[in-house]
Amino acid sequence: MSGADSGIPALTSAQRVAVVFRREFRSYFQTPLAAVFLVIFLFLAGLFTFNIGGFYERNQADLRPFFQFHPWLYVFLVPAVSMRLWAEERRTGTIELIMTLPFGAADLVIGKYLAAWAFTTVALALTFPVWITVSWLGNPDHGTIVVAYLASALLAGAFLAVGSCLSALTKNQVIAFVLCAVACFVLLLAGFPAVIDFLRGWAPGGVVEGLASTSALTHYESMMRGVVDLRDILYFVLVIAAFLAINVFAIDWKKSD
Amino acid sequence: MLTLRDIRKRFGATTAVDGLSLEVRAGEVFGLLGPNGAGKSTTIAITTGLLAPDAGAVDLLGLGSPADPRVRMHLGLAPQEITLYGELTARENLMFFARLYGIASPRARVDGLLAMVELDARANDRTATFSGGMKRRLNLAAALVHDPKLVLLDEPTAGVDPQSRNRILELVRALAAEGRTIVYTTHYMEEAAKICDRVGIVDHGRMLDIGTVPELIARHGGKSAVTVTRGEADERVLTDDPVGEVSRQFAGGGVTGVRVERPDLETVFLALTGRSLRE
Repeated sequence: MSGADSGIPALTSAQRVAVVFRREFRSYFQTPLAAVFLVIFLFLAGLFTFNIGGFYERNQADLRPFFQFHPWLYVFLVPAVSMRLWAEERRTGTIELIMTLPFGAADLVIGKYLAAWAFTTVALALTFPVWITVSWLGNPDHGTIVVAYLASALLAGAFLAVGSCLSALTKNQVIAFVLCAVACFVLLLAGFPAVIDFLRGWAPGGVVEGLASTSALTHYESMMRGVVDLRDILYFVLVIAAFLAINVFAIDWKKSD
Repeated sequence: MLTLRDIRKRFGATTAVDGLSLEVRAGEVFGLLGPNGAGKSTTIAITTGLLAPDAGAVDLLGLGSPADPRVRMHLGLAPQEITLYGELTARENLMFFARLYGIASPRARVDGLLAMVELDARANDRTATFSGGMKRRLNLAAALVHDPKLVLLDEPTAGVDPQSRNRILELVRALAAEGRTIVYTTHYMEEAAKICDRVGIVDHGRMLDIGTVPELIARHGGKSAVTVTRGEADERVLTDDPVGEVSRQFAGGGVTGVRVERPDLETVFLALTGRSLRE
């Protein structure tokens, strides 16, 4: 039996994802969330770059002070986007209706996730004046900056996948926010130099290296330097795919809660 | 149209549905009547595939279980909770579902539904600003977007104003007149008596009996009560023939007042369970 049997042409999975994406992406701009997120993100990105990062004092034409703080910004800002993805559907009860639609949860999960990622990418893209500034002041390596932007977008994507998955487990957005922030923090901390140095003192080298390789920070910093290593890209793609797969399972598991 | 066979569902130590079976015929309005916590909503959730039963089987249209997404194409659900996106307008809410279902001309379909539930004048207003009754009507419209053969309405009149309640009941009758099959859960016996072709009485997750309202009353309602007042004294008589009894009482003379209480679904429920529907 197909959708055609009921007189309605069946949509492809991609078409359904597109419908969900459009609705979800628009919804960011129908609430104050988009404006608040964009203002805070751009303000903090500027603050970290120019004040704390010493953008001018370094006398170097690069965007390292700009990109090096993104992981820590994302730990707090990405959960603000992801917390509502499923927790809101649970709270309002709309999950009950959308889970009785005649297709699986994967299309919904992917559509909502892509909308959230597109939204954070818009926020990231709005930082382009920083790139213009450094280009005006000197002669930066634009290739490195492009790769660093890609790394930042991938990192945000990975954190969003984690947040979307955790948001599916609760109807309380505050809990979803805290869970996501903690999970992203742990994902970063695994590769933080202080943690790695601490572990080197007593853990076998293989364990330390293995733990560091699971860290988002390790892969992010590698790309931030302008190195395009497929292993780094693959890491982010795998994190995103794994958490979205768990997300689909979690939605199916808790759909009637 | 819809068959549930020996459905069982437990949540921890609580048995929500306990061997419930029923068969809903094509084109009928079937009422699931029972008090809060009787297992009606769990039964609906199992019927929509939202919950998997611990035991038993559900079959829709002979196509199998609604756990299969393709089978779900034929059913529409208006859940007990209002399930709308508050930040979207009424039209945007319905358009979202119409597009997900792949309706060929979604705008025309949505406009038709908005007119049907008398929300066309508020089509472009955000649903967060709607009254409870308006949200209920829009919820019903959302269940009908894809023109389903079976419509499940879970307490569709809960917490609405009398005007919206009447409109919803009219809509249910209109949907039935179109040949749609409707499963209607409620704990309002007057509603069930008014719109349902057959009623199943549920309590503690069990189906106690199924039939038309007159059949149920005949089986479990007992006798009518005729209360005759003569002066200050009341006399209560139980009878199968209340009209004849009233005639006999008047023939005896001195009657200053008569009250006839016929058995209804409340009486039936009381007889079957030993407690009131509203308890």
